[in-house]
Amino acid sequence: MGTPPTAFLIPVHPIVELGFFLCAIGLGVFLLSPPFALVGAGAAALTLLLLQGRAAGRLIGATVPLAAVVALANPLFVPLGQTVLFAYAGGRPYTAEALACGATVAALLAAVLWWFASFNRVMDTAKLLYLFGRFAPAVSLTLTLVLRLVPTFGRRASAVAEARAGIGLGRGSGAKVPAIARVREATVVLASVSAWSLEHGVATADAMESRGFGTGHRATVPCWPLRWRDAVALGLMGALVAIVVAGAALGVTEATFFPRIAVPTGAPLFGVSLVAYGLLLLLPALVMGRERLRWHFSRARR
Amino acid sequence: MALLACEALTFAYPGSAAPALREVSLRVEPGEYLLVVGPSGSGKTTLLRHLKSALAPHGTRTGRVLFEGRPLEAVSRREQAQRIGFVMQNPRDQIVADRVAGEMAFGLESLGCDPARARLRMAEAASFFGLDGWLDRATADLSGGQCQRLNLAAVMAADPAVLVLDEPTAQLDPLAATEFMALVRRLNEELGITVVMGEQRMEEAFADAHRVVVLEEGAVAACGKPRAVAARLVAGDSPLAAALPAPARICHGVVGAEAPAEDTAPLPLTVREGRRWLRRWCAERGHGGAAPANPTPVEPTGRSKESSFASPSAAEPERCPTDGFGRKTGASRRVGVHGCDAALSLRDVWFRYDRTGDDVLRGLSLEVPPGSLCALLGGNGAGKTTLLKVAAGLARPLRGSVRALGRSARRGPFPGVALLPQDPQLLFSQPTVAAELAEMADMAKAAGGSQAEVVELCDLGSLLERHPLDLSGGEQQRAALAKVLLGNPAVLLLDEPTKGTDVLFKKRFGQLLCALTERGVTVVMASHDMEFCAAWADRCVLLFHGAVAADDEPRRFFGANRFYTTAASRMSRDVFADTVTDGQVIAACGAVAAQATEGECP
Repeated sequence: MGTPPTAFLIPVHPIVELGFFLCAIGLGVFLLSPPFALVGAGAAALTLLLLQGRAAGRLIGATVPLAAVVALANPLFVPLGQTVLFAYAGGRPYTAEALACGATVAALLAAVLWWFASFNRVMDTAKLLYLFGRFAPAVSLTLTLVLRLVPTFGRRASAVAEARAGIGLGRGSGAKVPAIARVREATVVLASVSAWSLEHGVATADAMESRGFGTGHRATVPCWPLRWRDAVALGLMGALVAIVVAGAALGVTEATFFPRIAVPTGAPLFGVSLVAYGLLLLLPALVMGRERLRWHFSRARR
Repeated sequence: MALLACEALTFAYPGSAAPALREVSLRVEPGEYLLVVGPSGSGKTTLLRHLKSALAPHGTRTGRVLFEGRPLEAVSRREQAQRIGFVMQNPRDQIVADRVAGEMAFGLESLGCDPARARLRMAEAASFFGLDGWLDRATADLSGGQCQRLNLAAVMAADPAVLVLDEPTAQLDPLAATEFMALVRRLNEELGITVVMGEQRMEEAFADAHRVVVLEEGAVAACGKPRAVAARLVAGDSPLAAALPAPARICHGVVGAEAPAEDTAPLPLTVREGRRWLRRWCAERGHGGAAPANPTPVEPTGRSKESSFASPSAAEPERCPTDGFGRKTGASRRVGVHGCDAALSLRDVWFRYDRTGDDVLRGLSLEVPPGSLCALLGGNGAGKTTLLKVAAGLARPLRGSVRALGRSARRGPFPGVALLPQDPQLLFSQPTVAAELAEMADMAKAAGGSQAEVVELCDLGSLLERHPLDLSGGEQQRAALAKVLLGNPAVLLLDEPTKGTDVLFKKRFGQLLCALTERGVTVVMASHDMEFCAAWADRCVLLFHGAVAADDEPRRFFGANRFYTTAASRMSRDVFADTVTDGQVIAACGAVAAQATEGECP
């Protein structure tokens, strides 16, 4: 919360950052093929690690077991596939193909989650406001307020819970608190937080109106000039996306899992589009890596 | 032409019979610093909000508000937003954006300012208000004082002609409040911004203002230069006189008692003027001027003497009405006796919030005897709030032992110890005050707290059916305290209980705490309010850098300090030894006067 967004370490135009995340998340959801999913998850994890360091490690560590559950549970629902690993519950097959399919989906989900984590980190509300402010000022401001509300709510709720514990109400009052009491306590905390937020929302609305919100044309102040670097990045991203999309049109990004796994490795554009996809996703990581090296060898360090 | 003017403004809220404003006429000249004072509920906020259409309350209104000679309704919302800056009471509620820079830009964006000019305005405001260092910080991480400074900067970035502030420091600690007031004074002095400020706390602003308007029950009771208004307040024995700066209260207490009708010297408003006045006053009566060498004070509390000084002035809070200061000396004798029967004892406590974070408490040791009123003082980040959390059992120390009521720490909060947090709203979750109390009473049935008694003690009788969030700051504090007291705690921990409350409430609150300690409740209070601690605490503990830096009874504690002490002490320290409250200074002056007359008579 406290540290400013890293913004891929070099100042790029928000449209580039937004474009990147749109591509990464948009393509990632559709490319249901083991090699592409693996590349996606790997790039997402690497980017997040470079952005957040240790904190990212925790998130990734928490996601992996979740993904494992998704992967391992898939064969329980999908009894298709030729390679039966074992049978259970009176002969229901548990197949390798279903497991692979589950693993691919899990990798996709994890990748999307991690991309969103990076997105949150990079695209702060000022940038979103800047990008969308001119089309829909009211909507984008509402978005900011809502985005701010979530962490504020959380902080307030824990403060209320602590304050209540401090006067002997709530969680602390017994060694073993029954579930019903805990639920009741949670509703009380929620009631307190909602009343508080309504009360204070009125004051915020007053402050906004007092400062001229909604009195006419609205400008956006933070300006990010579109530099040649941004144009190049956009062009490069566009080219890479075009290659991947071309590959997808030819069917190389698809895979069949049943009755047995088949990835079209031999198709003409398969290698090219996989490399293009990887390059596209690794663009921020490459830029950040280069910046780190540049810092490492810069005069500033001597 | 006046910049802003009210002409016979009368206003009533819908559904209330009595008008909130009665025939208020007011003129604000360009470049003027106008202070609007009055007890809570006197209509300050209602009046100030009428100065901007976007904030004007709904209700029936007669009379006019003029901005540069035009009726306010005829001035477009956009022009008002730009020309009339408004800062409200609660620092956090006014923040819209999630980053400091975004917050500063918000007003300019809403006004459609072009980006290059807006950036220049932001840069100017940021450097004037000292915000350069934290432009990229998240607004959620700022302290209350920083938030309010940001609000002021964001409003000023739009380049308004007049700045209206509605109790801007009520939610801030005194240090942040003083800093904020200094900023407002700079805006007025260096930039010539017209300032209209409503305040309950007059200590800081009174000397800065050009004119003061006193509101009482919605009507203008007095209006004029600060000194004249102060003189009128003390002469009229108004309850507001207790909110005047300490030098003025002391001067009135001394001179008013001596020769009520005589009005020779103007009232001193600042410590500097107060010192000069006191020196001259003492010199006229043959008092040496230098502080006596012996540290033992001449029993100056004055109650025993039959002189006219014995009667407490409006400024001196009345302690436990039964025995004056007697009980205090008895209690303070126990100070420093580190018995094993301490109500609260911390030994070599270390604490940090984060594994990699800094230590907040560093080997802190403290013993609080039962039935005492102990004040924790210290700057922001000295560890006061953390110490209270540790003492309540809400935070477990990394090292060291914490014992409360003879029991050592276990999981969860200590039974019998209650912590009233800085923000009393954290404790409210019900639709009425009565329901709040009932919630607590249900829990505390076993403890046997009597609800009627607590309601009586906290004076909540008329507020029981109100929504807790609709109460004023002082009322909320009392309601929260009542809720806490229903649990019948033996140790009561209070975090900044006097923040945002007026003088009348403080006096009542001090008496309430005294009554509690009489019953054997141990009170530990973290506070920035030195005047309050000097008047009411048995013992003052100064925390510095996570450890105890000083620990003594208030007279010796504040008497020994140079910077960190009450205005009364700063004003009188080279004339009297260890006079730290208004009453003590007035009593010491009484002793001097008595000596002088004795010297003349025989």
